[in-house]
Amino acid sequence: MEQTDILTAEFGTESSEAAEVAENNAPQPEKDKKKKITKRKISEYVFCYGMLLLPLIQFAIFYVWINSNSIFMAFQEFDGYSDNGGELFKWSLYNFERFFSEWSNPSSMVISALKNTMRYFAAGICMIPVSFIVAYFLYKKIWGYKFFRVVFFLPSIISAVLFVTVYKELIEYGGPLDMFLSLFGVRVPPLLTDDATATGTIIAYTIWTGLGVNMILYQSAMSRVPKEVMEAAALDGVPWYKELTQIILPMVWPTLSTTLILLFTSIFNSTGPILLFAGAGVEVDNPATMTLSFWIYRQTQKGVDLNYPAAVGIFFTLVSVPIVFITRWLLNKLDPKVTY
Amino acid sequence: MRKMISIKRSFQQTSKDYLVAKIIVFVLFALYVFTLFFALLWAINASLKSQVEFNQDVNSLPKEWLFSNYITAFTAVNANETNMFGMFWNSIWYSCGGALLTVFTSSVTSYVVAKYKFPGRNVIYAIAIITMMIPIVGSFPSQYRVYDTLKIIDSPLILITAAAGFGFEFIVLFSFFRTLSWTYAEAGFIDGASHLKVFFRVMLPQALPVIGSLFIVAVVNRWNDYMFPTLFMQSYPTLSSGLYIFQLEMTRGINYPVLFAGLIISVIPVIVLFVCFQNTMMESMSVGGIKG
Repeated sequence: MEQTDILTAEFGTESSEAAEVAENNAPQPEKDKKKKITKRKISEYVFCYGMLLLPLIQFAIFYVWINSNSIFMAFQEFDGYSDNGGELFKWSLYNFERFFSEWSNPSSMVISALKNTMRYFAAGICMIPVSFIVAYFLYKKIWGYKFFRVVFFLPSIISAVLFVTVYKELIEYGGPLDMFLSLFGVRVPPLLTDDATATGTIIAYTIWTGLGVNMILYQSAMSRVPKEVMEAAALDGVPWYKELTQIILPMVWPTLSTTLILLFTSIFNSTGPILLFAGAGVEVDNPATMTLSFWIYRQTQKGVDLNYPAAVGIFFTLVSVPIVFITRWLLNKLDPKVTY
Repeated sequence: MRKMISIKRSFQQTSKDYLVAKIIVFVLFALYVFTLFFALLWAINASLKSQVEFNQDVNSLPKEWLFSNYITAFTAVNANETNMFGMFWNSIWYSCGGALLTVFTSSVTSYVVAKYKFPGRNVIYAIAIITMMIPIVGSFPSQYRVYDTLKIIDSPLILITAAAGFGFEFIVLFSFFRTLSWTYAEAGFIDGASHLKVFFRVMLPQALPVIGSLFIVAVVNRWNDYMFPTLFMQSYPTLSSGLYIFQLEMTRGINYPVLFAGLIISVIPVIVLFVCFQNTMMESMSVGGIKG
C-alpha cells in the first residue's frame, strides 16, 4: 500500500498497523467454549455488517456507480431518440476523437481551458513559499502575530459570494482602486471584461484570499520543532534566512511535501470562483476565463451533450495518476529525512 | 536555561538584518490586513446607503445610515421565487443536515472498521484510502445522470449524497477510535450491554469533541458552497447560491445596497461560529485542507 504513505505523514495511519491494533482491541473469544465462540462471533458480525450496510450501499451508488458511469458515458455517443422519447446512446470512441482533434484547433474551448487551468496551478505553486514565509514570521511571533493569524484565516471561511462581489466593485472603474490609482494619474482598465486580463484578475483574487489553510498547517508544523534546536541556532548566531531554509525547512518537510502532493494531485482541478465572476458584461462561456473543472461544471449546467465533458474528465483523471506518482517519488527523493 | 534564553534574546535583538526583515514583513502584513478590512468595511458601508446614493458615488459614506436595508433584504432578495427567509431555511437544512449525516455516517463506519475484526475490513479501509487519493476530474455529468435516474435532483432528498462514510471524516475519526481504549467497551459488555448500546452509550460520547469540530467545519463548508446547490437544488436556493442567482438575474437595476446587506447577513452565522470556536476551526479546517 504505497498510497497510504501520504496519509501517514499527516495522520500517522497505516493499514497493517491499524489491523494490529484492532486485533489487540477486538473482543478475544475464549478458545475452549466453541459453541459460545460462534454465537459471539455471529452477533459481532451481525453488528459490523449491519452498521456498514447503509454506508456501503450509499458508497456503491454515489461513488462506484457515478464514477463507473463516467467511464461508460465517455465511450458513448448520442444516437437519436427512442419511440417513447428517451435518449439513445451507442458505444463509440467519438468523444475521444473529438477531444484529440481539438488539440490542433487554437481557438478550442477545452485547450484554452487547459492553459488557464495550468495558470491557476502555477499560482497555487507560487502561494506555497509565500504561505510558508508568512507562517515562519507568525511562528517567530512578529508583532501582533495572534491578530494576523486570525485575520489571514478569515477569507477561508467567509463566503466567496460576498468576497467576489466586493472584489468586483473594488476594481471597477470609479471604484476604490481606481480612485487610488488616479492619484498617480492612472485609471483602471476594464480588467474583467478584457480577455487579456480577465483570468489574471481572477487569479489575483484567489491569491488575495488564498493564504489561510496552508499557512495554519505550516505554522502548527513549525511549532512542533523542538525548542532546543532553535535555541542552539540562536546561540550560534544563525541569520534568520538560514534558520528558515536550513533548520525549519528540513524539519517541517513532511508537511510541506504533503501540501505539494495534494496540489499536484488536484492539478487539473485547479480553478477559481469563475462562476461568481460571470454576469454583468462578463460572459460565462468565454475561452479566456475557462478552466477544465469549470468547463465540465458549465456543460453539466447546460444539460446537453454530457458525454463529451465526461470523456474529457476521464482523460484528465487518467493523466493525473502518473503525475501524482512521479511527484511523490520526486518529493521522497528530496526528503532530507530529519528525525526528531 | 534562563541564561540561554537571555542570550538568545540578545542575539535576536542584535541581529540587525532580522529586524529589517521583520519590519518589512510587518508592513506587508499590515497592508494585507488593510486590504481585507477595507473590503469588508466597504461592503458594510455600501449596505447602509440608499440605491440613488450608491449609484451616484460608490465610495462615499452614507448620508443617512439605512439599517432598513437589512430588513428590506429579507423580502427584496429573491431567487427562483424564494426570499431570504426561505434561503436561510434552505441553508440551515442543507449545511447542518448534510454535515450531521456526514459525521454520523463516518463515525459509524470508522468505529466499526477501527474496533472490530471481520472479513473484508482491510478491503474497506483500503477503499477509503484509495478513493481519497484518486483525483477525479469533473464527475458532474455522470452525477447529473445518476441523480436524475434516482429522481433526487431539485429535491431535499439530495441530502443522501452527504451520508458518505468513507471520506476525509472517516480517516480522522478512524485514527481517533484506533487509539481509544477498548476497556471502556469491555466494561459495557460485562454489564450485558449490546454492541449497539456500547457504541452509542460508551464509545460515541467520547468522540464528541472530534465529531463536533468535524461537524462545524462541514457546516461552514456547506454553508459557503454555491456550486452544488446552483446545479442540483435550483428550487431550493441556499443563501450562497440564492444571492448568486439573484445577482445574475437582476444584472440591471439591481439594488446594490440591499444586495450587500443580504450578503452580510449571509456571513453572520459563520462569523458567530468562528468567534465561538476559533481555534477548533482553524486547526480542523487546515487538516480539512488535506482533503484537497
